[in-house]
Amino acid sequence: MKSNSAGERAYQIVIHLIVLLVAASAVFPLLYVIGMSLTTKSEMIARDYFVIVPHAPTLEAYKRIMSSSVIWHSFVVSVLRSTVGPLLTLTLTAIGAYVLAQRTLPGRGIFLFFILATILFNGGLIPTYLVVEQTGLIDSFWSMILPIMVDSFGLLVIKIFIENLPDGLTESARIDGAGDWSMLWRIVLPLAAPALAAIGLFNLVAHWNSWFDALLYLNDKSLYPLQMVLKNMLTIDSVSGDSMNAMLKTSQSISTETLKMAAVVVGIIPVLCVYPFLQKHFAKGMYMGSVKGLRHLLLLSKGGIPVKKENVTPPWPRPSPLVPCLAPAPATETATRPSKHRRPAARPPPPAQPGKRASSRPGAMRERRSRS
Amino acid sequence: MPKAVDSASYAYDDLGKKYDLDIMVAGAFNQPVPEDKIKTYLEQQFNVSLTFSSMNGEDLKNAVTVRYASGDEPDLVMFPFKDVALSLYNSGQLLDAREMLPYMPQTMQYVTKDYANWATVDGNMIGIPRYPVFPDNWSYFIRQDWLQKLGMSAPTNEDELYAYAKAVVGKDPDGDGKADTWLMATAGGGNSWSMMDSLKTMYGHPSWNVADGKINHPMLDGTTKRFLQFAKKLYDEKLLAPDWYTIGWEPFKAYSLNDQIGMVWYPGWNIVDEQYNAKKKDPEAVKLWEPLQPLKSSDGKGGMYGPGGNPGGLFIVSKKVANDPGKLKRIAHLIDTLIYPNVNYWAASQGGGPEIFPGESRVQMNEDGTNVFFIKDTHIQKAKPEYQSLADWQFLGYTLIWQVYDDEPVGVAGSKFNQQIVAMPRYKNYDMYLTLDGPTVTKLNDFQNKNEISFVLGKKSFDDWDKYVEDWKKAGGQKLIDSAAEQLKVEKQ
Repeated sequence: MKSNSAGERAYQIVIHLIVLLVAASAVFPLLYVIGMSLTTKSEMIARDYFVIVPHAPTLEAYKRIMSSSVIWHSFVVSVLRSTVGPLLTLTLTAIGAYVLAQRTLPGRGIFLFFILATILFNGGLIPTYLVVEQTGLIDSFWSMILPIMVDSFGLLVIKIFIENLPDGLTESARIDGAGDWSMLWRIVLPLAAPALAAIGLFNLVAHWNSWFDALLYLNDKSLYPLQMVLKNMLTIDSVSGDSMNAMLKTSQSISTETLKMAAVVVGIIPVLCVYPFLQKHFAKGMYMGSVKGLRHLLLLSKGGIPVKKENVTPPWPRPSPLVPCLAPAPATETATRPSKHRRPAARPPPPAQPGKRASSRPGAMRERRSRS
Repeated sequence: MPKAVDSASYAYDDLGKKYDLDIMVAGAFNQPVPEDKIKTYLEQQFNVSLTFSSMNGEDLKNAVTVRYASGDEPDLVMFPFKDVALSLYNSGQLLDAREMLPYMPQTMQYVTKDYANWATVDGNMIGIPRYPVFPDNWSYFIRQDWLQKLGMSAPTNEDELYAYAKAVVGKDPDGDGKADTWLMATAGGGNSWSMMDSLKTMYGHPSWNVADGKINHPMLDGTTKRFLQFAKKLYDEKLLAPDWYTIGWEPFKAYSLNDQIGMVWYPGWNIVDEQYNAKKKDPEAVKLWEPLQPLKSSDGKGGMYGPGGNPGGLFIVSKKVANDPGKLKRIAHLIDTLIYPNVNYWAASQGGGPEIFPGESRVQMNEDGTNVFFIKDTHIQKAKPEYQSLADWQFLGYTLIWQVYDDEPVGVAGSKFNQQIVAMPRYKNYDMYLTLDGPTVTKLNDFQNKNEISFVLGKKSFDDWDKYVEDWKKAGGQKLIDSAAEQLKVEKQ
């Protein structure tokens, strides 16, 4: 219902102003960084080191950064690790989650306990270094990939997600002759795509931003990722190198602040490019993963209460009356029906998927079975 | 003045066997280099395979700590500070440096009794002390053109400094008709007194010292209190820049190099060079600042800058190296040749000297033992950004103590100022004889940083000073007083 009352209008104005302020506070640092990265040293001094729109913009800092083959080389390393890392993580996480979601798996509780333990109790810096060192990964590209190849939290979230799939869905696929691999790749993963996308994006951003592992595990600087190179550009040693650095750099026409800001821009551009394409999955996956994942982690921590069939929620999100703006748009007509028309929660119908065979619907399967 | 030792001093090492050496330093650039010719040169000269890592000081602390804790320690680390070395020594991981030092005749020339004391703990030398990169060339600089306009001479004491500050703020020395000139600021980013810290020396010794046979500290004899009272006076009368406490070092240049500040704390060459470049290479800019002799208090105390002569760090060596005497000797041999003015000093400095890049630099030894080491703009380290990190090798042996500049106008003026500052009187350095508990020192620094600004801003009254000193003692000050008195073998206050 549309309300045109003065109160409603005032409310909308206040809400818009608040949102505008929040958006401005997010955009302002970005504009500041970009503005400063385009400013000459003399203008920066003249304008008290606060420039949003430079009077005489210069690309000198970017030229200096881009002219360095070191930057390009480290960029390639970063792209590689941010591609290979998330791919491996998603593959292993999905496989692990699928296996652990099988309630008939022997020793399932023990496996889950050990996985949960890695979330609660991190191995620590030195034990991790020892493992990396003793597995011969020092000075290897894989030292940045293998230690974080499985995302335990993501694994549990996906596992719970798979457990919550309607039994009928998997049963009908089994009857149609699907094995575990087919089940995983053709049934489970497509349905878990939003959660996987969210975990993948988290992982990608973590790989892209990571530099501490390179600091510890890499003596060979040719393997440095971009963030390590940029970080070293930004930090000047206050003890041994500060004055030395200043001495070597003061004759430049651009200030070290300009170089730093340009380095920051270079570092965030790739993630800025990727983010808009994954954002819809990211938001949806975050919501689904957080609600289901946290609830079930809580249950696990309280003694590993098994998921009851009566509690099983459908694999697609239902609109929540409490947080309507967070709930994704209903995927099916069924999901939008008033609750009194819904089927029992234990056997909810899946979303209608154009192009899917009717036999993949559990309801249709039951009809066929009863006919036979 | 130091001279290079004879190569026969290294007869102990025939260079026959090849060794893998793992060396870490606190560098400035710390970037990959497409081709490291300094490394290749040293590997050929010393029949070694080198793993060379450079990183900034904080990263070095982390990396070295993890590697030592994991049993994968590097052979040698050049640390610019002592605290981590002390921890490693306490955990029994370091070689007693006296086992290596006899093989380093060039280095031994600089390991004075004071240096040796500084590096010695419980009778063992935890590392080999190194001379600093920079000489004691920091001092206050004052605007000469402003003094002239204001009809004043350089201040010599706190009263004259106060009068100068009043004139700088009230008489518009830059002549732009705006009230936009101030005496100074901390430029410490809200974390310390930074530029203003040395004003403390007007009132007494700014660090641990001995007075009348008893241990003393600026917190105990009123030095800190008088400094804070003077700072409060400047603050109350708005003689400091508006963001005087929170502004950082780099942004402060918007004031200091832009005709808005009357006094700064800087190294000699750097203030000349930075002002010259900020004024678009105007030769007159090199005349704007001149160093100020140490100031005295109104009752005649002070007249000296803070203690100088601190070491520039120390080489620490893993205990495991002692298992292979040949390797120990090779490390000693290699490092010693990088020390001024030994045979490889130039090769590893400033991105590679004439031995590695012929014709790209100029080395000139003067009769008085000083040197000119001029790197041309075509030198690969300067010309190509990806080779910038070649300069990190210089943190093993490079120093500016004996280096002078002969380029006009910046180098000549900068060198002159450096020499003037080095010759200025300084308080005796007692810190060289002390090894105080690192965490307590850090805790007390935080305590002081947090509280002292409150006195200046008027949030705390100087009537409560004695209580504040008692709180300082409880926060760890008494522990350090006891420890310092014991180490210096003097009475407690």
